Amino acid sequence: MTAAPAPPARPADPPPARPALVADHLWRRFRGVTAVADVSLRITEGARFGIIGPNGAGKTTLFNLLSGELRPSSGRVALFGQDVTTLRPYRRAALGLGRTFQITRVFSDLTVLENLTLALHGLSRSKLSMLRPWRRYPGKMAEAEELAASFGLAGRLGTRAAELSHGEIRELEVLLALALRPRVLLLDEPAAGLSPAERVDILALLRSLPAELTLVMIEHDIDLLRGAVDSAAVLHLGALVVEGTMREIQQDDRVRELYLGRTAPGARPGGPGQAGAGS
Amino acid sequence: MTAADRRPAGAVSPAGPGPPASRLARLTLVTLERSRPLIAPAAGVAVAVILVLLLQGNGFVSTLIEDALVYAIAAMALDFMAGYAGMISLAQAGFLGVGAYGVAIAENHFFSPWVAVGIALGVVLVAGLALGIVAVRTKGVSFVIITLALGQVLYGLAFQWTGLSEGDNGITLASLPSVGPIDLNDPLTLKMTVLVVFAVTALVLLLLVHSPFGLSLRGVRSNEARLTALGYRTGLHRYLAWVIAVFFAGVAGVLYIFVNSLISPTTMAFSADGFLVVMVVLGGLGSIWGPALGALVIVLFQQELSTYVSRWQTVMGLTLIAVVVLSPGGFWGLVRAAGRRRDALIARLRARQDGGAAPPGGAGQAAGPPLALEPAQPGTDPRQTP
Repeated sequence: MTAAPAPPARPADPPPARPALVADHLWRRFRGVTAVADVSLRITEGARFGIIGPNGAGKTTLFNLLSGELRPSSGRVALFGQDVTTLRPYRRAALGLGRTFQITRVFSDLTVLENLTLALHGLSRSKLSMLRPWRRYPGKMAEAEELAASFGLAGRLGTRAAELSHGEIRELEVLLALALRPRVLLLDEPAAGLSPAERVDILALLRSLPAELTLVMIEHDIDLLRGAVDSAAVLHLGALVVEGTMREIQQDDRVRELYLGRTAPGARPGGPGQAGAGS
Repeated sequence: MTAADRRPAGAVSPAGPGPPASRLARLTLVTLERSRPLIAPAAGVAVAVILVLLLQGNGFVSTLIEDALVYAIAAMALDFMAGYAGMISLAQAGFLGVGAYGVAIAENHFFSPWVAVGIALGVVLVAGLALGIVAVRTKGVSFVIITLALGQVLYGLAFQWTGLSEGDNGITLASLPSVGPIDLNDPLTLKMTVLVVFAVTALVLLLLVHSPFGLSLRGVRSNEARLTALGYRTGLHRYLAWVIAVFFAGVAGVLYIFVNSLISPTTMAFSADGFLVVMVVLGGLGSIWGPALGALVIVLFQQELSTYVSRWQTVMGLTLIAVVVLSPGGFWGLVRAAGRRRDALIARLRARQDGGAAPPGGAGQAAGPPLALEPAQPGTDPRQTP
């Protein structure tokens, strides 16, 4: 839509904007196991925000609470000032919330073009249109081709998603979320399992996103994260341990202990091993 | 000897520019490419003509086709729900029965035949809308079980609500509707009407399947959670698919009582629900024409095979196993595979010609038309709308 005149400025220079996504004392328990414990976040519009933490820290559960796949046991979620705690995922999508999934979810029986077309109809009334063939929506078809081209899937439009490579499926997953032109985009480990070259591609794509888009991403790869986000929160055992800029996070003693220190006890965090916290 | 020597020499030189094999390949390629868009309409017209001709008769074949067409309507509608949205219903024959009973009961209560048809379709629609609220809440195996229960409820009503349905005996229909020159009491007119309703149903379902709504149903089947995150209220989409499928089952039911003049609970029994699912699986899940083929085969088994082999259901079961093992896509899967093979052959010939065409290109052979066709060919998709 907007022509994105300049590459998005990455230092925190935009004026303090209103909050896009707010989590207010979120709790989620599964049969006595507390997956998310009293997490409060306030993510401003246009922010680039990362969520990190060891496996099992509750990152994906937190995402599911934010996007509506799960309801919180207590606490509230607000999107652009509107309380969405009880809204189902499709309603939140209509309010501008897009997301990807850690375990990749694309429509594997459908071609790339069909995948993108579904996403492009998602927020328009035409998704219930029954009489006009979906191929006869020239605007949507052009948009789908444009999206595919923006990520190197242009030659794959007719390929079934199940036949794509792992990297291409990841890319398609991100494109599905982008097709909704979300105002807030939640990415759950977008680079998991990607080759170094593909990581460069995805970082380039993330950096080319419009500046007004609010991006929240879970990621283990610290290098990718440093390139893509300004600030981050660290979760451990469901609770928010630290929140701050990436520099602050990397220098925080508790984080080192939790996240970096455990796998390499003597290592200095000056050069953090990527995705070190596998356990 | 000398003459024989000369002749081959003279024969070789005209063929010089290109070996005959490549000319044959080029001819094949052009033929395949040109015929590609024509095959489906041509086959459709041919089948329509054959059906019209076969239905003219009074004998066994025309009755068989008439019955098959009625069941094909219900089976196609079932596959619209099962093959596209992944909702396998075991209540489809139940709703067929509701349509048939609706006509019969309304007519026995002194409504005119046309009004009776309207009442029947209205009742089916209301039943579908109401029961859909229950059915669509479940997915996968639970949906199958819920629809099984709903189908049995409908069967039970037909069996035990004797005041309305006359129980086991069933209800006979006295007269069929007629308007102007179209009198359904005339067997041939009725057969043609069945054919027309079948064709209209198939075309409507094809239209639906290719619409954004149809695409959303395939999305539901493929990954419902993802679709929800993309802004789809998937429950609504499944509900609409259910209502559409149920409605066409009712349409089939109306034709059923016209054709048979009798409706009894057996038509709605569990086995009838099962037969419809078998028609769909045999014909090919996820297609519109496949279930019609399946209906033809099953009705043929029921009517013809059963007169020769008392254990015809065993034969049917073995057939089903063979088809599922040999062609998981059913009969229609074979048709689709043939189409894919054809496309692969086109792509191979085209690649060979493009690769090796540069030197013999000097022959100047009709390079125009094949090039013009090229964009549509490489198998990706024919979405060339600007």
